[in-house]
Amino acid sequence: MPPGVRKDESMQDADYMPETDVSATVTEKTRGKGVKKEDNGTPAAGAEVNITVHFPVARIKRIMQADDDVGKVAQVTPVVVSKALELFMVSLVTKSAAEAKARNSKRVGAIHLKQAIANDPQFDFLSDIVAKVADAPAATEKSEDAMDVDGGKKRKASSRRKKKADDDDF
Amino acid sequence: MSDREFGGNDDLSLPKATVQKIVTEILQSEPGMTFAKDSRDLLIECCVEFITLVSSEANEIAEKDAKKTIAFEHVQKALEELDFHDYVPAILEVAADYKETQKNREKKQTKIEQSGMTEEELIRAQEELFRNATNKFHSEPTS
Repeated sequence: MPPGVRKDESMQDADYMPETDVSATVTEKTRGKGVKKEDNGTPAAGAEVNITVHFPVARIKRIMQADDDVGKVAQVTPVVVSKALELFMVSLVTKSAAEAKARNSKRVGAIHLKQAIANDPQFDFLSDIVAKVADAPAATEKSEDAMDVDGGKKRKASSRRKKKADDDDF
Repeated sequence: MSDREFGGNDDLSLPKATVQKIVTEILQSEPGMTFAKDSRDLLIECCVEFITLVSSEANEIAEKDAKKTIAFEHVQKALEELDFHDYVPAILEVAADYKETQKNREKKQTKIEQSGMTEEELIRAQEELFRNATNKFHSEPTS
C-alpha cells in the first residue's frame, strides 16, 4: 500500500480504491460555487455527477480566439462554454466507460472512446480525431465503414510480402 | 512526423491534471475503472475540438445577429444547433449565477456614486490625498 493512504478511510469505504478515495473526500468537503446537481429531473447521461474541479476560463477564451474569425467574446461566454465542456466530458467519459465495461475491461482505452463516439450522432464531429485509433482485433462490427478509413483491413499487406520476391528489384 | 500535437503552436490545450481530476470524479460510480493515459490525451483533443466547434458556430450566429461580440445567447443557440439541447438548462443556470456575481460586484461601484461627488471631484480629492501623502513622506525622517 502506498504511503500516505489513510487506513481509516479505506477500512470504512471498502468499495473505494485508494486513488478514488482522495477525490471522494474532495467532493464531500468542497462544493464548487455555481455547480449544482441537476435536481430538476434532467437525466444528463444517466448519472448525476457532481464536478468540483473547473476548467481555467482564460485558457478556454484563448482556445476560442485561436480561430481568426472569432473576435470579441463577452465575459460570461467562456464561463458558459466551460460548463458545456464539463457536460460534454461527463457524457463522453461515461459512454466510453460503458464501452469498456461491455468489453470486460477495467481500463478505458482509446478504442473505447472511438466506439462511444461512433455510436452517438452527437459526437459525429469527433470522428476525424479518433480515426487514427486502431480498431480492436475482434471487435463487433457495430461501427459503420465510414469510420474506418482503412476499410477495416487489419492484415497489413507488408506481412504478406515476407515471401521472397520472385522478381529481382534493382 | 508527429501524429499527435499536444499543444499545437500556442499550447492550446487543457491542463492534464485538471482533466484527470474531472475524469476521476466522473468515474467515481465505477470503482476500479481507470482511464488510460493515451485515452486522456485523446479526450483532451476532443475537448478542444468541442470548444472550437461551439465557438465557430456561436461566432456565425453572432455575425448573423450583426454583433461583433459573442454573447451568451449566441452560445446557447449554437449548442441547440449542434444538437446539444440537453446542455442548455445547465448553462442557463451558470449564466444566471454569473449575473448575480456581477451584480454583487457592481454594488461596490455604487458606493462611489453614493459618495455624492462627481468623478472630477473624486479625482481631485484623490490627487489631494496623494499630495498629502507625498508631502508627509518627504517631510518625515525615513525610519
